[in-house]
Amino acid sequence: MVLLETKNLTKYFGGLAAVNEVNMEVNNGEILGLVGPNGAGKTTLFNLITGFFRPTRGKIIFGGEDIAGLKPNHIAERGIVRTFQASTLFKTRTVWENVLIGCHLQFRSGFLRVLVNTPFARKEEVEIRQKAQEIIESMGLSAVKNQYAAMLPHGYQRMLGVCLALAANPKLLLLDEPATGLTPEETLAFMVQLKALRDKGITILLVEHNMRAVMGNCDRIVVLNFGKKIADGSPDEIRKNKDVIEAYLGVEANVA
Amino acid sequence: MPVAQIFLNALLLTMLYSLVSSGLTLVLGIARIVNFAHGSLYMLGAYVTYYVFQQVGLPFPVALVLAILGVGLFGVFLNRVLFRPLAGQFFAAIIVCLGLVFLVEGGAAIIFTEKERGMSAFVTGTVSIFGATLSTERIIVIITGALVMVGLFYFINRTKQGAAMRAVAQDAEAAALQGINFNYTSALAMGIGCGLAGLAGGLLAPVFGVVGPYMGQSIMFKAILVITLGGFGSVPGAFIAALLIGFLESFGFWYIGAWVSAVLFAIVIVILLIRPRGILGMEYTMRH
Amino acid sequence: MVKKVVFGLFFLVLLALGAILRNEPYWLHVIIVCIFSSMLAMSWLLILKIGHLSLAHAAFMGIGGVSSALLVKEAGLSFWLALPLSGLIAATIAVVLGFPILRVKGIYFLIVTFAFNELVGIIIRNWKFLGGYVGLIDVPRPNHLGGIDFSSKAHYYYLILFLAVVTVIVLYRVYSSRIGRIFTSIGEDEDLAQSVGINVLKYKLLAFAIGCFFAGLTGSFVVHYLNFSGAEMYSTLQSLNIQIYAIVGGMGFAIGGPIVGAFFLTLLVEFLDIPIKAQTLVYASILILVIFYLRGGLITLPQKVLEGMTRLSKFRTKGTSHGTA
Repeated sequence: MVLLETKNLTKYFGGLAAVNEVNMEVNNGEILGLVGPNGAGKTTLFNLITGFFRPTRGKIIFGGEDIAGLKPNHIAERGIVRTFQASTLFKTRTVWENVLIGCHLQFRSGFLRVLVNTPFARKEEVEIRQKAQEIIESMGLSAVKNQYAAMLPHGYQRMLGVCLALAANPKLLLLDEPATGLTPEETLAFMVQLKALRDKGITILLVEHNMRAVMGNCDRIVVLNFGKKIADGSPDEIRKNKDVIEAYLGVEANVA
Repeated sequence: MPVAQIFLNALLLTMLYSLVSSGLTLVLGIARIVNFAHGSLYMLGAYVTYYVFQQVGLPFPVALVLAILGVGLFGVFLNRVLFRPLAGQFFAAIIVCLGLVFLVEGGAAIIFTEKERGMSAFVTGTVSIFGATLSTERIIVIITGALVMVGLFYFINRTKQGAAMRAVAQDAEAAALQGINFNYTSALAMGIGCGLAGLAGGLLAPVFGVVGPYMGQSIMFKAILVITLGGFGSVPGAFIAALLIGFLESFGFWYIGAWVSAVLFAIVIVILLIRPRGILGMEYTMRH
Repeated sequence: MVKKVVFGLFFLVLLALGAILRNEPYWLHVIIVCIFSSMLAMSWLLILKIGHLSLAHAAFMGIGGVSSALLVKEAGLSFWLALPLSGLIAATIAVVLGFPILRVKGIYFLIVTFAFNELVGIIIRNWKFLGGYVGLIDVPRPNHLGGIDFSSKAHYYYLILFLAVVTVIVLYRVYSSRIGRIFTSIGEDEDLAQSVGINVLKYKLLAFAIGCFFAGLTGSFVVHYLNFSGAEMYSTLQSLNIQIYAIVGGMGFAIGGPIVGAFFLTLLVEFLDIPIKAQTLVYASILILVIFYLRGGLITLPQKVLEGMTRLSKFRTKGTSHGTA
């Protein structure tokens, strides 16, 4: 079943098409890898899907509606949450506070009720704190719950970034190069976590440079080059695809 | 409606705003700071000119040169001591600039007292052009301002130092790699930028006839409007914006009086919302 | 917990001072100024928390002040009604203005608020109804409340103290709640906040509205206290003053910092008998010193001194235990 679909998605910056007539699908319950050489348009595609850029042309269908051009927080409300390549955390806050902020969408009480501290608001706060605790435990961050995000080792920071996104209750999780800077062991552990999330019903769209991680862990792969989709299929199919090999000249050795 | 007078006034304001705003935009390009104290530098230029010309009695051009040099050097000093250490820290730099306003104005109020000084014209008489009687002084100021602007354009676009300034404003690191001496270029840009403010102060003081420690405030407001409209970092942009605002203000004042400032404010908001880059963009371009 | 105790004690001290100084109108005035300056600085800091440096805070105080003066003088309203109304008027204008301008980034926002502050001054000076160049004189005192008729400074003192406590309680409640978390997350990383579903513009408007509400409220108090409303009270330089209180006091402590800054600077110029002309100079010098040497503000001074002393003592013990090289 198709969860997200882009139709003729295009984004021009000045005269240059960063994303050019991209038609792709993300199926429910899969881990989809988005790969391509530097500058291929992967992050732009992310920005388009999550509302940080408006498309020049094209549609993005999610849950039966065209979400192209909606603001990021509205897209998050509909169930698509992303992480960022660089700053994926609130660095001056603790792990606990980060996840709690991420739980924002789960709160129902409005400003006035919170200010006056009605029983409803208080009950909600307690309930959602419980949920935040559960998320932290499920991702293995209990030990560092009260540490400042900026102080965490890199691997933990990446985990926290995903935690933060998870707190927003996504149906579709977009991860922008989450394994950057992780050691091979950490990357392995991370991929295991991702699979566990997929098994819980969260669909994952992953941008990653680490071809090994992508090949070994994604159900399907979409390859971009110069803003266009050049291939789409299972890891095996992609490995043998001539266009992909050409685009990635020299990467073949790593992929094997 | 005395069209000729209003037109002349518009040109006068254009020159004033051009000079001050070009300086402000130069400083912005080099120090990456909107120097809110720029208006105070204008005020200092006016005071230097007042004392040298009116009190000491030296010829007016000498007073102007001293104003330019004095304020320019003061600007270099400020850059070295305050702006450079705070490079890259937007918030701290802005706060310091705002504090500088207090510092310079407060200092002036103490040293020169708050009493406003009357300044006499450096040349009297009128000239008759196309049947309209126009003040000679104003015409000279306008022509001087225009000449300075032309000189500025020439310097920035045709000389090596000007090219160096443009390079540094665009990308300081790359410029350094090309062998451009950042410290020297930086000091030069600051000196010229602040000197322009001092020149404007000196030129306009006899025209407006009054010198006081707080005279820089309204100028600051206009200068900010101008560089916002014209585009941060662009000297041609500043000139065009100064022209627009000078004429708008001069003619607008005739019809709606002080409310013209409300119109200007509305323009600023609209610009910032639909095209924050301004007319000539935010890249520090000094090309047309 | 410690914070609440400290605030509580401070409040009691101020309460006591009101009684002790009840026959010293001059000193009562000084502390009244300290208190409402703190309110202005605190409410300004809230807007900074969402990442926006506003140079228009004095203008909003002016909007509140002028509104209050006119509501009472012209419309015959009771001060007690005009007071909250002035805050609401200021907040409303803040929302209307904020809707377009809170979308723009740092320096542009600064410029717009700067221009707005200037504009408000121009409007007030050129519209006789709002005061003109002369200002609004004979702004009535607050109406009777029980036995209090506001004929003496002490009455105003307790009123402003009460208003300040309300302000502190509201701000404290905001900061310690979910709303406060949202504000700080927006201030730190807007994009990240958006990506987890936070409607950034909505919450920015909220913070801006709350901040400007208290500015307007303070303005209302001030004009009825001074019985006067004049454009010079709402100038851009006044906006700067407000910023200086907050920054010198310490921006890291949303309520304590502004209080420390406002009290310290106001009392300093009083005790040293610094003439008004030199005050701006003194404020600016201290501001620049703080930016360069004590970025966290005066409120961090005790901590810094303590750290310095511990380092010093460690250095000494190291010396004695190792003896000669």
